[in-house]
Amino acid sequence: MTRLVAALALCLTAAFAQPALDSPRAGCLRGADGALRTVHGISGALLAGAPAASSVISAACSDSFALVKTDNSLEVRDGGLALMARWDAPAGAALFALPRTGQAGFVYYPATGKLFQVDAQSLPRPVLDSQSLGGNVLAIASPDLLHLIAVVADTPGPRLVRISVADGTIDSQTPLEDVAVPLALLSDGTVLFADGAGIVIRPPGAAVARLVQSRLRLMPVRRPLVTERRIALPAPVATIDQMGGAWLAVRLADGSGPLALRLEGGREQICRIPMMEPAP
Amino acid sequence: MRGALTLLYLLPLLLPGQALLRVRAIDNGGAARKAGARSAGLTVEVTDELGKPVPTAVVNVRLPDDGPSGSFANGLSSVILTTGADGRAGTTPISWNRLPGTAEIRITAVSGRLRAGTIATCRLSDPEPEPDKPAVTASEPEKHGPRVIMKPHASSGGGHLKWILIGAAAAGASAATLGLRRSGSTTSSGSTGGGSGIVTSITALGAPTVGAHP
Repeated sequence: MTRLVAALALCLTAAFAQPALDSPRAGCLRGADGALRTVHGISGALLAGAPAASSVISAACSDSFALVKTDNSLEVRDGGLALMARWDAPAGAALFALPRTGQAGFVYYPATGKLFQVDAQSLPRPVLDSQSLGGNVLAIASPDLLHLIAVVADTPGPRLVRISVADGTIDSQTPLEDVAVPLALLSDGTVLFADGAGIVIRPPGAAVARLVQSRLRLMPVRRPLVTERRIALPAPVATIDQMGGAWLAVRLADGSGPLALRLEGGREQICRIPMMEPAP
Repeated sequence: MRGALTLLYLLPLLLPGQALLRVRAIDNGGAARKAGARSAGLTVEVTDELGKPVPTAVVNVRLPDDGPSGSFANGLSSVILTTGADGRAGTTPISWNRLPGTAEIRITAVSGRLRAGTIATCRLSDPEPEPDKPAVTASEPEKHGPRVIMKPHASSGGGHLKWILIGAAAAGASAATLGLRRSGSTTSSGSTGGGSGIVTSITALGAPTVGAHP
């Protein structure tokens, strides 16, 4: 009898240890049906899991946590999409900026034009509003918890704005040329935007480099300038979301399955994300 | 023994995990309050995703640090409560400051590892004007340091009347003297002056000072 109990305990222990053995996590993905799923795997072999949340309007994930916007609430979830906190929020979509690590991020509500710092411990703290920025915010990113960068569109044209989070002051502004929506902003200042049936990746400084090159044609270029790159896609881009870490989720306007775009080390990889269908 | 061991292992699976937490403020007597006044406390309700009350949830209610705000009975701008079996918790009455406007009350609830929060707004209307200070009468002398100012009144006692008469007599004498001097020096004006048309309002006779309006 004692051996039987010991064997049973051993088997149960092994069974309960299974969740600790997990495949690498690439982030999370909001499907067209509003369901939020975790994405596991490595480049070229990704798989979106079962829905962890529904009725999701906007979402963004980092390696350690996720911000999820539903109709009237903002949810803070951990890396496995388990709910940690739920804060009341205005209706509508939201833009997110998540540092790659850490347990705090930023949310911008286009409906109210207000930007907040968010974590799971306390209610979101207001940072500034769109009136201070002088235009509509198209995308935000967080290089660190003390700074925020945003693409702001107003009458003269879009510009990249760097904001100090502590007091909400604007540190610097850089004009952005020839960008289009939808667009996404990475924490290093790289801008991605739709361009017909493709997507353009513009690293920081690329626009300025192109301007200098066009004005000073006679001067020889001694070192290669930073240039933007374009990836051709089967259809125009509908949305670009932060999937987690170095991954972006790109949804096409033709309704086909989502794509995962990885940007790291000046190289990009793109692959499809198959969905795990529920058993009938 | 075997059953107990199995139950111990299966316990985490048998206990349903709470998936969602909701918190809301139940207004006591309307969202509008008068600035500078004291109002009933705020009642907070914490429920789960099915609307069932969540007992023993820890609730933090925080009034704004500046602008239109107030304080609870403990004199602080925040209070920590625990919900009862009905999922509700109530604060002590709130004493609002005299700044009209909208006060944002930040409410956070914690139950287990879940947190939820909301911002309840409270509109503070203009405060009522402060009541005027009561007028000082002769029977209630006001002390301003070592000097005593006494205002005459029709019903003042004999002591006051004595000082008034002395003051009036002195004023009359002064006026008469002044009128005689003027009439002597400025004869071209044709005015004799005299004491009849001159009113002396205050005459100082050293301490105490007496004000007289004959």
